[in-house]
Amino acid sequence: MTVTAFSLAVGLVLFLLGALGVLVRRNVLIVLMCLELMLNGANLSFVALAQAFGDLAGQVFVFFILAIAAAEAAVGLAIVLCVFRNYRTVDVNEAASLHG
Amino acid sequence: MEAAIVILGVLITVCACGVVFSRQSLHSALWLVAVLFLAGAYFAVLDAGFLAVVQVLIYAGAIVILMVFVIMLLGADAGAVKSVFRLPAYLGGALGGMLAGVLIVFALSGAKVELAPVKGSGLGGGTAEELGRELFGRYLFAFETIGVLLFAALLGAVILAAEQKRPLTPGRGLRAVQEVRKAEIKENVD
Repeated sequence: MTVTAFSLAVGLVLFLLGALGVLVRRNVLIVLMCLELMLNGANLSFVALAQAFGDLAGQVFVFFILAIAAAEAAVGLAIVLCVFRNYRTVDVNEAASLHG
Repeated sequence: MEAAIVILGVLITVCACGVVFSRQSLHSALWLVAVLFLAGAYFAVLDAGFLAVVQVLIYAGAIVILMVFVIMLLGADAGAVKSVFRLPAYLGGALGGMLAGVLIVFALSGAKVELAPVKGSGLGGGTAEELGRELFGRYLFAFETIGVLLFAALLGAVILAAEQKRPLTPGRGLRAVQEVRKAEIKENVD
């Protein structure tokens, strides 16, 4: 197993763990953190492939993903604040007014 | 394969499990800091020195602090939900088993992946200078777009999170309807 393959495997593990957390957890803050885990898995894969191919494009994309993660965290946390103000809970299952 | 990478990979996996399976959101945040620091170290090993620094500065330094701030703002015990997990245990187990299956398949096939020689990748460490040259050369438009996106996200966050001091005032249409109604009531009274 090469370094690249191992790094891709670690990236996949991070992504899958994050996906599991997003699907399974009820606390919306932890769901957001698991989202960051998924982004980090993608980042790790990008860096590993940038190194494997000797191309900086992968690292530039990681830079962009970092910026998008920052934007996502800011907007996501603002939405969490709004939800908490209206529902008095951070349980994602409770915010189901549109459920019908 | 370098021993450092294996150790880092295992530690990252363990800490990621901590993020997903912690009962309290604050513990999850602390595990997330560990994951991000370790990922930064991993980046440094993979010839991405500048990204390693940026990872620690932005992720561990800004994003996680923002999250901890919100956790504290909502009260650390706001996470006291009825049950930690949304799905029944057997469904979660099945989901985890499926993901583990994907992983095992990948690991078995990944053993045969030979992408490129790793040593001497020609990246030269991924320093700020090289990355900046790319960022402000080939990717200048994308960089400017990201700037606009960040600005929009900032405005959106402020608008969403700002406490609304007064109720929303009715618009022109609603006011017209109200005036007509008032006039009707007046006529009826007269």
